[in-house]
Amino acid sequence: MSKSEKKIVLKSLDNEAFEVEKAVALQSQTIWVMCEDKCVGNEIPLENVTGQILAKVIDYCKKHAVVDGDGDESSEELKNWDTEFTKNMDQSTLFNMILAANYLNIKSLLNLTCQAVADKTKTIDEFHTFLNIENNFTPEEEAQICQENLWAFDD
Amino acid sequence: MVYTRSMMKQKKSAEAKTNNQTWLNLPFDLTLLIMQRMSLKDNIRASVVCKTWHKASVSVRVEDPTPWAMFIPIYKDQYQLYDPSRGKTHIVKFPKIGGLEICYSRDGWLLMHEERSFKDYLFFNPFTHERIEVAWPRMWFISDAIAFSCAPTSSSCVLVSVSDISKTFICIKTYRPTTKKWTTLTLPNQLPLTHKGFRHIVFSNGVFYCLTKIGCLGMFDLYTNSWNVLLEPPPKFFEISDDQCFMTEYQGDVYLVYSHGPNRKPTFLKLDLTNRKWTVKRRLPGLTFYLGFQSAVTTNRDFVDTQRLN
Repeated sequence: MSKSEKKIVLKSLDNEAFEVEKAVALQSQTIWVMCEDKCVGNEIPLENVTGQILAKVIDYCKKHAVVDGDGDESSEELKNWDTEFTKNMDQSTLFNMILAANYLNIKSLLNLTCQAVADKTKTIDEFHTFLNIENNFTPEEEAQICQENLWAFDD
Repeated sequence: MVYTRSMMKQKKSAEAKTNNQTWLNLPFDLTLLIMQRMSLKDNIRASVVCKTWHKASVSVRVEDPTPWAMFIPIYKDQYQLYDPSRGKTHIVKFPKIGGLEICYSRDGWLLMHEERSFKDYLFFNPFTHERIEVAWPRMWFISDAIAFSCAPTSSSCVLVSVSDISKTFICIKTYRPTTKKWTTLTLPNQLPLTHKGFRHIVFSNGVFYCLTKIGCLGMFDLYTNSWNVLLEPPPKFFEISDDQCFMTEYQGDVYLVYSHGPNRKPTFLKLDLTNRKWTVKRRLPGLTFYLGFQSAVTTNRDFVDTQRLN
């Protein structure tokens, strides 16, 4: 890769184009492989990610590209930034962020978003509401599972 | 990256994205990633969401073998489960636990008895609240050492009680929870008269190892019904106080650990039955010890955020 190719264009499925520094985009293993293979030009089409989600992914990559060079002092700040980043995401955004992080193969972002979901859900009702999943157990089956681990349902 | 068939279809689903995305559409491998990041308590709660999430939660659960510690505060109708890998304590309200003491634990089960009497033993599972009473004959004398081989729900579970009745004989009783039958064996004692009682008992690979307070080791083999004694105490055994010494096992090997306080490296000893002695080991690569007085567990996994012992 020559130095003139410092910037790269990422194109979302809804045809939104984002021009970013190569160092930012290469945090995605998927993009990295595409660039290595030289199978794409300067513009990379990402057919699985919408512009709205891609914008957030790029925010994340920008933040992490900048801070990674700064050493230990910034790790606390970065952690706080990560927490804020996922704090106000609704379940639909988180869902699509997980899919995008997986597709683009950005391990730290996949970790962060999966952890956010794991932390958000606490009670059974919250699970059902947040995940929008219908309970397909019979009452007997549900009672059986609860019985096996009573200690986890005591409050 | 987890490659999923649904990636191909994702383009469509992203277009049809609504605010009511159901997480059932999440590829199963990604559901597993979320599940792996939950505490055990949340994992169990997530398992009643639906059948798919149940499958996911159960499949990641077996991958977490980090032992938990349990603590029962005095005069309180509750107990605490401590998960060392997450530094998290779960408080479980359970009134029926007051007045009971733990004598041994294994495979998630506790052997407990009434604080004052040394009869009335029962098995208790702190996760399911199951109780299994032990049919303890009323007339029997106090047991000096008691332990069991595996979960009492298993048909191979054996409870072993050792009583030192005289200079010449030792009495070993075994009990199988599945048949509720006791068997009594009286065998030549071989222990010195002044052994001052048993300090530690550990079951490993078919043998119950009972270490006395003066360092003699009694070994009861479940398959041959034999009682053997190693008289020679472990090195430096008398320089260590009772609460600094722990016995544990890993895959058939028996270890003693001397703790020298938080800032000093512990001493490890391995039982060498071929040469009939305890050998000091400087390093035990890959093993993690979880030590307590009523039970000790050794695993070959690190738990998060702790130092390796080697």
